[in-house]
Amino acid sequence: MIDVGRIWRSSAGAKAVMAVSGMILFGFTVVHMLGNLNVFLGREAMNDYGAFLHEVPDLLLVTRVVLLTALVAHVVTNIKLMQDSAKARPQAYKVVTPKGSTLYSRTMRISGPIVLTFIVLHLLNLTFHPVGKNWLHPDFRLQAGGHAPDAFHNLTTLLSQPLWGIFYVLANLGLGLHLFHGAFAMFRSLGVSGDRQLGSARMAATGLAVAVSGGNVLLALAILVGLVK
Amino acid sequence: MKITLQVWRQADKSSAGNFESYTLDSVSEHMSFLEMLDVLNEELSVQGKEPVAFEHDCREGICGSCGFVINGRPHGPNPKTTVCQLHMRSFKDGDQLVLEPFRAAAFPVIKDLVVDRSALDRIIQHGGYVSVNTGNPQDANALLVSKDDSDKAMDAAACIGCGACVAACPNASGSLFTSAKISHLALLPQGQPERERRVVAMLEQHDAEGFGPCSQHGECEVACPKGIKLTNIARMNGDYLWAQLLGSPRVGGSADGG
Ligand code: FES
Repeated sequence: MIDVGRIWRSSAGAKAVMAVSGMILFGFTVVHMLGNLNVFLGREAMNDYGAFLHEVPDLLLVTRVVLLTALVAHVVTNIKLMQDSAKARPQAYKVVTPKGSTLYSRTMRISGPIVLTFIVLHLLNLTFHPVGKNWLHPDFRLQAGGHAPDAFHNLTTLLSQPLWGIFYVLANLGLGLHLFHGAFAMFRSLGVSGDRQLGSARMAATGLAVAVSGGNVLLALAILVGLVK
Repeated sequence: MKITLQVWRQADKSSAGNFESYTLDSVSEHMSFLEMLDVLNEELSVQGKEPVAFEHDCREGICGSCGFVINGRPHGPNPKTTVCQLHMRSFKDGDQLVLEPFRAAAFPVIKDLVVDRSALDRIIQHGGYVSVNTGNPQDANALLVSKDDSDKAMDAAACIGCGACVAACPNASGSLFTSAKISHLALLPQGQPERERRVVAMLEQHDAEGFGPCSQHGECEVACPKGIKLTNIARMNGDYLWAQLLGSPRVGGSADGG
């Protein structure tokens, strides 16, 4: 029998949970960013894409359940890991001189909460219909006659508001930092130890992290400055 | 040259410590770091004060006894160098150096810069060996090991168990040490029969000792005086997951003291 609790309690097992859930979420951000690019093709392309996602409700539901499970696992396991790590060094050094770690590995605890806040606000902005007109969205609309949202309208009206636009740009830079370390760590956490495999896996994941962050930032900027409206 | 030291002084396990400042006016650049401390201790004893306790044995960089943190770096600023092999020529006249013990819950301070690293020994006791029945040695060429595996095993076996990886890790993880001790056996044929049980028992002992998890920061690899690679941790993680998900159900609490 596989003892899930025992695996989760161990340091390597908890990190494997972080890696697998992170990989699922990472994969989602790649697909999501590619879908976003429809905005550059115009209103029709974006809304067709939005309607396409809503075409099979069961599939949408399954995807959402998988993503939510991965997110909860990622956050809860991280809380355990942070506690373990705080307990492991109760007394801090007077002088800390980092040498091998990276800026993005050391800022996971900042980029993580930024990304989580972004996810929550983003869902309230554009996924779940805010009740009436409220501060979370200036003018949320469904497509004419459809159950799918008017994604193009909703996105452009939201991101052309300077505060939201800037927040989306910064949050996606934070996401990029977060994915950067994820790209480095997840394969090692899952036991890929060959130098060559590790090198290529990491390169591919880093490329995707740049693409996700860069694609989303470009999109938000394009709407913010009025290139896309 | 003139060196100012801020040294962590702590009388014993239970008392609180604090930093004390000492200035040495004529340090020779040819001295090793520990010789510089010997000079300081000589002065302190003449003044009737308690000398600074630090651990050392071989002073050749091979035993793993020495080690403390100099300005935030375990074993000091030089790569692949134990503090006993560090020389004062690595510093400049007028330098201010903060000396702290390795800080980890699993490494309680015994006195000043000396910490209790027996947690590492207990990890070894949980499987860092091969159980071989004695008898006639077999022919040396009977077991073939690829060059690549033998190189990696030898590199992992270079670990001297000094604990600098733990000291350097932002999570105070002992993963680099544990994975080196697992890898040098996991890569060789002799290590295979107990491979799954070993990784589970050693890693869980690592956790039980209060070492933190590995976030793949990579600080340990840079701090390690023997250049132990981070990929050993990846190998350990893979072995652990393999053993837990696909391996023998009996892993863990075995009868052979493991
Ligand atoms: S005293 Fe032996 S390694 Fe430094």
